[in-house]
Amino acid sequence: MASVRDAFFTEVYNQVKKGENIYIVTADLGAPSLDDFRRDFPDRYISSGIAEQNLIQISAGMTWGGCSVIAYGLNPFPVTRAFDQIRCLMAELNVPLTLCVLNAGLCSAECGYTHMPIEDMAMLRTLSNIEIYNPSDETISRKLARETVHTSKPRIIRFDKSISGIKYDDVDFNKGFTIQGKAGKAKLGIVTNGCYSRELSDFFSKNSDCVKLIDLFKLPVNESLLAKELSDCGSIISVEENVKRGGLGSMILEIMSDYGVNKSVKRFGLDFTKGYYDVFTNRSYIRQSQGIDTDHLLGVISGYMAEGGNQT
Amino acid sequence: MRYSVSELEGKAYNYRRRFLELFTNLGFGHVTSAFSWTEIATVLYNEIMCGRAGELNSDKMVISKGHGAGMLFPIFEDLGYFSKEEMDATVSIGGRNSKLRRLFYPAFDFYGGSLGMGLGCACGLAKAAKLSRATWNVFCIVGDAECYEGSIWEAAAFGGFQNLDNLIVIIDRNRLGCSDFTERMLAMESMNEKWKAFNWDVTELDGHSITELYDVLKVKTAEKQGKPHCIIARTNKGQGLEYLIDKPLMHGYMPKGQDIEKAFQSLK
Repeated sequence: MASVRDAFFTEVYNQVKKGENIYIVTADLGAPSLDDFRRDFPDRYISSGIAEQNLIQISAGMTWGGCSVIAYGLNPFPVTRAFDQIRCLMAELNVPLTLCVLNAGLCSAECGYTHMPIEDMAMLRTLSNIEIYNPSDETISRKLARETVHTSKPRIIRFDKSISGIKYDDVDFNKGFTIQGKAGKAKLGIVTNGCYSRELSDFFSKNSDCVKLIDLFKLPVNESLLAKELSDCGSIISVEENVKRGGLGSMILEIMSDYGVNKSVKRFGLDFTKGYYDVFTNRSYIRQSQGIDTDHLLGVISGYMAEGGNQT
Repeated sequence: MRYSVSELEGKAYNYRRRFLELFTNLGFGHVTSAFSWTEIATVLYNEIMCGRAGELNSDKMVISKGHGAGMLFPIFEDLGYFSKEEMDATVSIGGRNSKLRRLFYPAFDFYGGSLGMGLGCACGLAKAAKLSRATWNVFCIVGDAECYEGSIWEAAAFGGFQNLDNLIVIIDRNRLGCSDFTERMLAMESMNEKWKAFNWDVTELDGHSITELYDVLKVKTAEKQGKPHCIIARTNKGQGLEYLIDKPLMHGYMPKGQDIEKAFQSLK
């Protein structure tokens, strides 16, 4: 069983072994799965140093020069520090490079606020052309790796280092989401991605007759299909480790508004409107303090099952 | 040389004149930035750059100081990429030539806008050539005030370390940013020593001298000794229009009204 990050790079190794012309440019970030790649393909492993702006610049130039490039850096820095490069080179000029960022949400919370990519989703989803992936299992990661040389779109892949193993046999990248649990009409729809789509999955094996979980593993999502799924839900909650302002929940509300889906929505995510305090110690502590720990969420979901309507 | 020095000087004059025609009609542009590197562009496009434009194996051009990229229009017209009628009709508000795009035309690879990005992209292009054993050279035009951007020095470190001797960066050293002289805002000197410290081969020259530009560029494009090349071209922002030279706050200047006639009459 491999992490989503290591599944990706292992498959990249396999692709290069088969003869694909892939290069990895890294901003001083390694991985166990990259050790073989570095040893066997040293000319294909290029360091920018901890220079995220140049990471994306070099990668764009190499892509124009005919290489298939995977840029790799520690989130949030390639996004928040080098956002202008992403905006001008990847979004505007549509350079089909793949930017892999390690860490999503709170998974590196022990390093403090500086190392927590909790605003990147809200920032990135304002941009055109870019596909944002949140692999929730190895299948998604491996498929992304196999498509590296074939994609015509810029891609940003957010790896949560806590996610590992296989959940899906296959996924539809054009659709952008999967449904777990109840198909069709459901009492409650839960919109999430990444870690929560795995952590909450046990719950759905027992309650799938009335709850559906929508794993938005790719943004932008097929909005009309998603709107249809949401319209089939009695109530909706969104769960994420991003700031609520601009995050997944905001996106859901925008889509529902655009498609005229009138359902109650409760958003669960990070809210630091009263300051950051000193909560950045570890993932479970922040989750508890923000009311987004799994136990609390399952309690909320159970409440919906029992009574319906808004729960807090 | 394909052209004599006097012929190239004549071309540079014509490019500036045509730039004024196109952009005074358009109503906006960056005349001082464009005129600052006119001779550099003249020599590169007419004498130095190799290969058929747009082909993968042709030399690459990155104009990191994007505000000067308007000078490409008269050059592309002269090179036959566009007719005069087509250029007049399309360099207009909403016209398809009102804004250059990467690879929209075949004779350049990227122009900036958001400063500090071009050199890293040029490094990537040069690295790709090395990896694929391609023979193209990469030219990158960087503004001197653009060198305040930290990303320029991230790229400078990369280029020097990677021994990208197929990369020729030309610093348009016109000594002016938008609001003031660089040496009054935040001193840039010694520019020469800074680039040398990053393992670059550095040459200084008169950026308005066709002869110096040709002689140095001809040598540096052939010289492959493990170091990228940095050419610090001493220029004047607004060269050709005496009344603009060494005047701060003229970065976004484009002659309007009575100034248009004054500009055409003053043009040298």
